[in-house]
Amino acid sequence: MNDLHDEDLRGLLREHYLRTDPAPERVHHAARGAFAWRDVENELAELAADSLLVDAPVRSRTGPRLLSFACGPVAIEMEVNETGRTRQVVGQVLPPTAGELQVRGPQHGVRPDELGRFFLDDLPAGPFSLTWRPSEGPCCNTAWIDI
Amino acid sequence: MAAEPTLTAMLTAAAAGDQSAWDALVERFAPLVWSIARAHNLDRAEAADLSQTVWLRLVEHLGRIREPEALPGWLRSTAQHECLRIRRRTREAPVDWRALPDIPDQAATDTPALADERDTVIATALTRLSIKCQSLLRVFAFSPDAAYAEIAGALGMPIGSIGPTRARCLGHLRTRLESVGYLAPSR
Repeated sequence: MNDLHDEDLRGLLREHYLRTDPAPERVHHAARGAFAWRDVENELAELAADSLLVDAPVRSRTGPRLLSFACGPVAIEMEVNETGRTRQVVGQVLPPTAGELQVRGPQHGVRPDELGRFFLDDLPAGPFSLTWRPSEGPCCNTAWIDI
Repeated sequence: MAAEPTLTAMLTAAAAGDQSAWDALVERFAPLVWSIARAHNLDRAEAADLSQTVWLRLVEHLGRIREPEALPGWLRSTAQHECLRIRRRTREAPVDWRALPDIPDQAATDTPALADERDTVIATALTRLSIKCQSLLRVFAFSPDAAYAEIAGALGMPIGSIGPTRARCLGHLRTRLESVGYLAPSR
């Protein structure tokens, strides 16, 4: 009997939140649009390290976020800096490898230098992913993160 | 009218490239993802970014969800990890659930008058509960099949701490709603 009452109350709460604080339509719209990023060709470069996940007792709260993605034979390291709602990414492909990086989203491609370094400016805050296209070998997409 | 497709059917079709199956997944679970972001006190812009990141992650993982019934749990867990990152990124400490009292925040007495009078009554009753209860119930509202441990996990609450359970929070809410005549007294 109690289960029925709980379920009724859950339904009541659910309707209440849907009326008073629903996700905006643009959130639903963008979520449907996320499907366009489905990619069965390229490999997925998982996030190997994220300074935001380090549970250090005293963690620098002023430093930039440091990330590392493992992409086949290379690691893609990045440092993310914020200015308001804009982001800058300074990164390096290691070991230095011939290839090109493409931001998945607004048109933005970059070719790492001979030391593998690259720089991306004026990125919007929000979901971020790169496609790494080496001159030889399979392409990778870095796992989506929210910067 | 066709019966609502099962979760297995929706996931299988989406993994095979079916946009309408994906749209159905979004329709069904977007409120859950949003509820977790809001239960973590993210503002609407952060909650929107979090939602999108979770959905993009799901697109990446579509082919690998072994147990379709595990999808809501996967969404809760992914959303919870992103909330943690967002709070850390904005220099906010994660919510220290152990430090929060199990009693209502006496300072929070103002409730907005909402368009639908039912909602004013419900919102008022909710503010009379502890922050922990309010957060638990927010996620519970969109988690029909989740155990307490899962819902607490979605909020980063330590399991096994003495504190509010779903049953207790619901009990408090029911009592409040009965006392203002919104609900008939239960047996």
